[in-house]
Amino acid sequence: MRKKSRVLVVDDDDLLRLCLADWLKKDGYRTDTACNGEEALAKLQTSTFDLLLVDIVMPVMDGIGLLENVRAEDPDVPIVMMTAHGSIDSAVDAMKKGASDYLQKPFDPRQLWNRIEQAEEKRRLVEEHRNVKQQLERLSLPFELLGRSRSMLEVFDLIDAVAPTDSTVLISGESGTGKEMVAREVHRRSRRASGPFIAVNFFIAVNFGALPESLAESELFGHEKGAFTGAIALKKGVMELANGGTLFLDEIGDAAPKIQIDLLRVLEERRFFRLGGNQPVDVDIRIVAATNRPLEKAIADGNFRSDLYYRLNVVRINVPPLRDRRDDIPVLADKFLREFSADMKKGVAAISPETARILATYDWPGNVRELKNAIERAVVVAKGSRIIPEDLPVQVEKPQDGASQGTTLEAIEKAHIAATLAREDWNISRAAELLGIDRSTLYAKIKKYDLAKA
Amino acid sequence: MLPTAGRRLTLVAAAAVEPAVLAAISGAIERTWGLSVSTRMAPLLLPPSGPAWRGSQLFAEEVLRLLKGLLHEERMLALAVVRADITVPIMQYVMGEAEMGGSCAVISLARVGQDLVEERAAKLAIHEVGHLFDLAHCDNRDCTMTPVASVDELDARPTALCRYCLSDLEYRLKAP
Repeated sequence: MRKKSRVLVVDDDDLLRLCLADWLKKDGYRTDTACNGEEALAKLQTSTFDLLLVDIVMPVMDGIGLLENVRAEDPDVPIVMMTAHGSIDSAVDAMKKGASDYLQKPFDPRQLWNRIEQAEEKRRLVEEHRNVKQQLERLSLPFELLGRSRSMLEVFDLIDAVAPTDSTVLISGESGTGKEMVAREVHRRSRRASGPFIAVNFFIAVNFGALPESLAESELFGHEKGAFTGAIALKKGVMELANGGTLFLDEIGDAAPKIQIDLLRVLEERRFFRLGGNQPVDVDIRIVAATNRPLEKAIADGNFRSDLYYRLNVVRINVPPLRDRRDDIPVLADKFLREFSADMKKGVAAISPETARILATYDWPGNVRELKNAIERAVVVAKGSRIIPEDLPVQVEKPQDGASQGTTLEAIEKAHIAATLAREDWNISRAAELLGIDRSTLYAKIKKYDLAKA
Repeated sequence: MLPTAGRRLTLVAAAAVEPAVLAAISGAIERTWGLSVSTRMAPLLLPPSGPAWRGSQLFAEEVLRLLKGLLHEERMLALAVVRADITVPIMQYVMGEAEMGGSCAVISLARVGQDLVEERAAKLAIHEVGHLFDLAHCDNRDCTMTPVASVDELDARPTALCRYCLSDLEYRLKAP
């Protein structure tokens, strides 16, 4: 069952209003009710609705008055007018004034479902259009989540298992491993797929001074008109914009202490206050957070709230670094090569065997993002139809040898054994064979150097 | 086995409902939900006229109210089967009605046509019992919780839950 829109039913007839609200609840909608236009306007000040079902004839403020007031603020929210038998003229008038549709009471069930679905679809299209525009502006070409290594297949299995639920997900992994792509995949395979996917990066917000704390709060939770100097109009934050979809909180470990408390409240209550607001705003969002550093350490250091951690860490997806899934390097390299070659209209069609060997053995500290950048650079500088080692960035082509940096023989041995084990996905027999030692010696070395599978 | 298994449901039938239809409904509920079903004939004393009716249509709420009076155990469920066309105040008609997460539901045979009556009645019953377990309507056409408004739509509706509703049901029944 997909979580559906939030609907406000406005009708002065108590029986019909409650009956319709119950009916919509059974359809999976979250509903609220108002008995006239004024009460509806008050509710619209504090809550966001995806659809309004409005009776035309009501005391205090009638349906047409409410329609005009709402349209002055929000041209997009679908408003379906409800008319009594024989009042088609007022329905036509309402359509001219911006109503999305009208229904005659009592409703034919199929007609009601169809009208609501059409109104939702229109709303979805408007939002999708807005989201796509926003994402095109914000995002560079995203790298694909590709992989056939055991560790990536485990990641895909976890994505499959968690996507249909509404559980909060915490994605951990080094920079450049594709945490945001995992989050997008969770969203894409979820029942929220047609809703928005909104990403917030706390590292950028904090470390580049892009957003001082109060502005970061305003970006997250929105603000009321006059909440602070410069707040000239009510503004919805990303929490509200993500309503019905997924909110991706990247580098959550960098969130300021005050924001951590606010996020905890949202996770617990699915409601928050806009800056300067005194009415809670309810939201239906799924939160996916990501971190590139161990939050457990941040908790021990007093930089991250343990209660927030436990709320976020409901389902943990660990995206492995590229050096621990070397089987995936050729697949990814080939994918990037084809993409960049086509984009740049260059006929670079292959990677030379020597280049492939270098790509497969390099440690990729910047992970998939670094591999992607290396291939992009190689395609730019390649003179022939194949990428050769000289086309690669210098740190990839000729990585500095540990031996030249004055490290001990033991350190080199430890690093070499660890790299071989990682490359062979901890297959002891294969790693021992490659290292030229027997299995029991390898086990002894693993114990001596305290090596463990990542 | 579904987490609903073991609950008891009383099937309450109006006098004009054939035993074969009741047997089909009872079997379908037992198979789909794992409930233990017992059948009672015609214990509902529906008023012949008055506010319980809109013309020839019976308000479903009235049937649910009478059903409640028959329940003598807190966790017991009840489903009424009536021949009259039923409705709720805001709708022209309904084919079934249930209390979300409650104990009572009703289905009407008035709109199931002359053919496949047993199969269609069973489908209506399975769906309404789903509402008693707090399951809402589902967008997935391959799910028994997909809403229907006509006999053609009813024929196309399956008798099993989709994986989303199944996981929803497990979650709801686990929740305190």
